[in-house]
Amino acid sequence: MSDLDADLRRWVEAGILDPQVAERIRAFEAARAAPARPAADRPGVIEVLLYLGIAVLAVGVFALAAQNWGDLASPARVAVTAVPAAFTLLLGALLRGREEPGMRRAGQLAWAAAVGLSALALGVYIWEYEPFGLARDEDTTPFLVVTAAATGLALLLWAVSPSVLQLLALGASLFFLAQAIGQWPDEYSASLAGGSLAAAALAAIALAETGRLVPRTPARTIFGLLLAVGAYQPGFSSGGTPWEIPAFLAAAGLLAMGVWRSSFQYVLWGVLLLFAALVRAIFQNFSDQLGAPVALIISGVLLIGAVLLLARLAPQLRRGVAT
Amino acid sequence: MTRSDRWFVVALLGGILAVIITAVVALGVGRKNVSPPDLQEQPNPAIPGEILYVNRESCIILARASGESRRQVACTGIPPRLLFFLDETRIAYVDAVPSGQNLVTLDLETGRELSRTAYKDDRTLLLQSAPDGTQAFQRDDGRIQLIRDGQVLTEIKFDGLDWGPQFAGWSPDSQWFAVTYNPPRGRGAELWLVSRDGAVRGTLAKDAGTPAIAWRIAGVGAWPLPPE
Repeated sequence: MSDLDADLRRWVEAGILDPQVAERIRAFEAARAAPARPAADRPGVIEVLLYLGIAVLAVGVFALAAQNWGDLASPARVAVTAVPAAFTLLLGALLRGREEPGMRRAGQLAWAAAVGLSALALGVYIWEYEPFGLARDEDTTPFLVVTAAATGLALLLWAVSPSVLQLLALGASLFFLAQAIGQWPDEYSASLAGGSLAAAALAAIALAETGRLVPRTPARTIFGLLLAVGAYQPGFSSGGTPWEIPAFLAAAGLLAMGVWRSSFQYVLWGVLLLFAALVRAIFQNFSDQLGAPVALIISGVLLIGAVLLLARLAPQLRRGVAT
Repeated sequence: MTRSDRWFVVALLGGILAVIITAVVALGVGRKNVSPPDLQEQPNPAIPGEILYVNRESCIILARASGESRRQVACTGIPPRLLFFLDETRIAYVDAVPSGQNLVTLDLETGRELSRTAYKDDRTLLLQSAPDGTQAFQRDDGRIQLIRDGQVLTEIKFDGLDWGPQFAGWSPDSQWFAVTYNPPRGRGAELWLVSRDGAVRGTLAKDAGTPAIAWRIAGVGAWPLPPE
């Protein structure tokens, strides 16, 4: 008998508490003390070993293909990449309907891998056959086509199976698509790449906050990070002073959003972006006047401030999430 | 979350990306024209002399440096590495084949091959040097520095380029130089002519092959000097 049971019994016997209320308290506490998720929802050792085996097998197959790449004819090269892509797509579709959570997770992993493998297969196909006038020595168009196709596939797979891994695949393909867009002008444009990434991430954040892009917590983590990266990229890759401003605006926006929506993820990315942008801005604009040691001291102060801000906000945000 | 919510997400994110890609690809948003004015469309009489260059089909072209006219001299099959004006009526080029280099002499008027001899010099580095001793050095961020006697005389900046154009050669009066720029998406290399101070620039060709040129100015001479 637990301490709570003993207390409840005493209070009922003393006439302080109704027996029905005592029973409800027992039921409530029992439900609270139960594991948050059934054991089947958590990855088991066998599932983890299975993933490890698949990863080792995949590395082996690719290493073998890479070693013999020069001896392979074009159809064989396409097949080496397209067959695994088709296999992972099929595997994900088959496992998606299974009842065991472990199997469903394996299906999601297969589909996440399918996005990367399909992009690779398409890239190899374009390289080998140069279809629709896509020339292999003209890298910008094939890169854009491959990354756009990968993003489209990732988006569709997420729509069929909204899961963390599909969000990860979507986020990764969005990042590469933005870089391909930035690559399109005659010379790489960091502002175009970063702007495209930030625009897509902003839309995704809006969708996550309205409950349409799920699961919400990983969506906040992934697209908050992409917004931070996209806003940082223009000013600090090659753009110069006016392009540093979006990073500070995005950091302020992420912090405000984090406090408003009680999201630790937004606050984390906001603080990290603010820290990175300030340090970079100091070194980029003032290191000549200040000297490297002073710039480092200021950076250290900023880092301490960022950590203290995070430590101060974290408990409030956790309480906000709990409520 | 309903099924229509999911397709709303697909439509919205896909739509935003489609708009961005269309704007960038079809409307050219974000694209900068880094090329100087096309001398074929707007000839610049201030640029003196005649230039030999190689186009993408490995043909040697004789062009007025001002851009007013040009004509094909001969097609070589193998892209020439070096070009020379020998005299008023003859030019020469160096081809590189696995068995060694050859100096091939051509009649400038007809393009007929006059002679072919083994060529052992390596004059590639000399092409960076102007007749007055100025050296051209390529730096990061699309810059070319002109240096003489250890002093940087001037620095020519090519805005909007991640990688600077490739230096191709000097004019015989040391007042002009040529560079080749390789644009993306498989477009042909461009041959740019630039004044020594960087103020005057023009695109002489948009179908250049190897960065090999020879330049001559009446009454001044030719550069690079022909091999002995």
